[in-house]
Amino acid sequence: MMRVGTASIYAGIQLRLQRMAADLKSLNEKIASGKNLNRLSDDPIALVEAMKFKTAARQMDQYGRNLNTAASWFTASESTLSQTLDLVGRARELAVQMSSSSQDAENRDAAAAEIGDLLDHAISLGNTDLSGRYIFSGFETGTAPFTKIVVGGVETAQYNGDTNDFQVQVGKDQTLTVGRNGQTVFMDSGLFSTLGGLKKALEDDDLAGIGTQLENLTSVENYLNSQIADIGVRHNQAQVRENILSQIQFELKDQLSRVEDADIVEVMIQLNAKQLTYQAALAAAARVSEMSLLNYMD
Amino acid sequence: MYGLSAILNIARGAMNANQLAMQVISHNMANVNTPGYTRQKVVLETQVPWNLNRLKVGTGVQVDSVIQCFDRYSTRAIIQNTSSLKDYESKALVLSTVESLWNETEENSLSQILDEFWNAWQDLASNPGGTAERTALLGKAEILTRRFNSLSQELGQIGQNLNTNLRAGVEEVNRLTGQIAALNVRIRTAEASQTTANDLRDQRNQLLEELSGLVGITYLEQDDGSLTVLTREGLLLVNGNESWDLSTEGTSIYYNGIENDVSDRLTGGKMGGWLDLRDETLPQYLANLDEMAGTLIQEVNNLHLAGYTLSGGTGMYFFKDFQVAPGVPNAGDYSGAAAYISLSSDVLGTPENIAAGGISGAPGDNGNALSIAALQTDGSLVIRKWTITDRGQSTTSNPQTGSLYDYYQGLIGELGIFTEDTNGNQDFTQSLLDSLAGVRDSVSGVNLDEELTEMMKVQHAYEAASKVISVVDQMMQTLLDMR
Repeated sequence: MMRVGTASIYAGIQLRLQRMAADLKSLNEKIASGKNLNRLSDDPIALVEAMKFKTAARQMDQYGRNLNTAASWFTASESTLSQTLDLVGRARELAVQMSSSSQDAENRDAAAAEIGDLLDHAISLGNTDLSGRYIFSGFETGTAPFTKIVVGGVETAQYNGDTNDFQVQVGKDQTLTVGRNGQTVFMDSGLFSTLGGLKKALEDDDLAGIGTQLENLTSVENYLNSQIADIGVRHNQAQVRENILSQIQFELKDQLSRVEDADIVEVMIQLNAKQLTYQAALAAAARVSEMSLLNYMD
Repeated sequence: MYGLSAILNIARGAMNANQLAMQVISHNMANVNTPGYTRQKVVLETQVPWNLNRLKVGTGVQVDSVIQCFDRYSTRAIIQNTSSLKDYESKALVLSTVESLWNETEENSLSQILDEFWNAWQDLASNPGGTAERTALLGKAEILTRRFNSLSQELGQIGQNLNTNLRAGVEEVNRLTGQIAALNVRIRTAEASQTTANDLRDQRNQLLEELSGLVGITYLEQDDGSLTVLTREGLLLVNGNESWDLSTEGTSIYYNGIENDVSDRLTGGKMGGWLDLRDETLPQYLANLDEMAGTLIQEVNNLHLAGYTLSGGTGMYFFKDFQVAPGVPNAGDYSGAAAYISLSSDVLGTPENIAAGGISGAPGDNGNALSIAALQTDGSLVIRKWTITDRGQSTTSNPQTGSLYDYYQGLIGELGIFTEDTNGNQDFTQSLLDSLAGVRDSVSGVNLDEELTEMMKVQHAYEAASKVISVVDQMMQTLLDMR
């Protein structure tokens, strides 16, 4: 049999109560913060996991923001190009009408004036900006990309931008071209020179010239259509990417919550159990201290 | 001697012996709560018998000695484990402060600030000509540099607090060793007459336990009862009536006034814990934090120098450049970088000078901003990982390939696991000490119920002896009354 010192009975009671109080405190902390991890040493492995999830979530947020920028560029580019196509359609209509020999010079002059307006309009479409940034001037977003010039009596536009495309990051080592430069989108289509040439042909009542420009308009239309398709593909890529990102975001939040958030019900049950043990220990401590031979001595 | 007077003598002896036993019992009961008190016990023995012709007649009881119920094994084990417990305890306490510096469980942790720094580069890439984006980036970068600065400063502050603790610890060690030496003298004198100086020994053991809480010690008892005390690493602290003092000078600890740092010969106990933290743990975390800040300066500046500002300029620094000057981190040695990191004068207050452009610096050129933002996930960085052991005598670095995040997460994981281990060791040692204390108390602890039983036993023996006296008195009366 092992002897027990009176003082060590009390020391034991104190120690056990203290340990239980520490457990109660930690459970209470979990309930108050709603989190399992309240300091590094609570669970270092889980904490590092949680850090990874949080950083990944912030990256996804950023990619999402970049995709928002991209979306507004795509929308602006698409609507600019489809308006340009409409404009080219109107020009074709006029050209077809005016290529008939039944039209007189007066009508052709009126048509030439309208084509002139269409050219101005096409230039201003090329100068579309998003909150002050020209979207078709390559990196020179502060410079209006197109200005009207006259070359050899024919009106056209000159390109003031550069040939760089605007890209944003949409994933680790993944960039997406968001804005194509105006050289690629407009200049290479021959839009401006065709409209200028058409205007000149109408003014000169040059039927053969009108016919040539009509053919040119077809190739401009084809070119612009392929540009719209190109933007459409990338816009679609961006949307797919955005869907993937929000899926990943959801997964990350779910995983983070699994690592980091306390299961309140579970913790409450643990707290109740601890509470019960604590009360039992208190009761036992009170009983033990009542017991003494002194109670039976006179 | 025999006859009635002999019986009276026996009774008187019994009363004396039991009275003494009663005194020892009451001494035990009085000290039931005295820390370090060892239960005492009266050892009774029969007196030398009287030879009556062929008979040997007993002559009563006498007190042989008052002994201590003392268990050497558990006492020694307790003293050793107290050193370990206090070592872990002091570490755990400081580490809880260190881990709260890296508040990775909270908002505005270093990793969040880093994320926001890189995100600000991406925002700039989305609008490279934007003044708002440029200003926001400088703001985020400044928050980041300040966090590095304050982490470095606070780690340094913890180190300084440890020095204050160590100075107080040295004073305490000197006081304790002085008192142990003084008690050695008193015990030696008291025990010269072949008795044990029970209460003085209790006091000395108590001091020894306190000392072992400050620094790991070994001890041995000499034949004359005095105690020789050394540190685990063999520094002689007490021998006989002499004790040797420690002293502090700056961050050094001197022994016996000799100007030679002996801090590496102090292990275990609170002081051992503090020294381990001051010379190994904290410098290691600081070195790795410096490595991170240094890598950030180096990598961001490398890219930034090659980029173009809004006005087309190039060769601008983003972070203040390394310089070759004493006490300043440089390209080869990043120590001090966490305290050093700050925005360069090129960009500070001049957001146009951020080199977002990769080829020209035109307002839409975001090439360099994209490159710098990509550093966030660049897993090909080679970053040195420092390990400091042997109280700073051994410093080794190990190049690790990965992103800054991988590196930082490694640091955090390491700190968390070290803290968790220390807490676990503390709990384990505490449990071990509790059970050792149980073993010791089972021998030397006072149990009141036991003492009360002893008290009744002694009381009855005393009553019986006094009864003998009154009976002998009657017998004498009978003798005198004979006519």
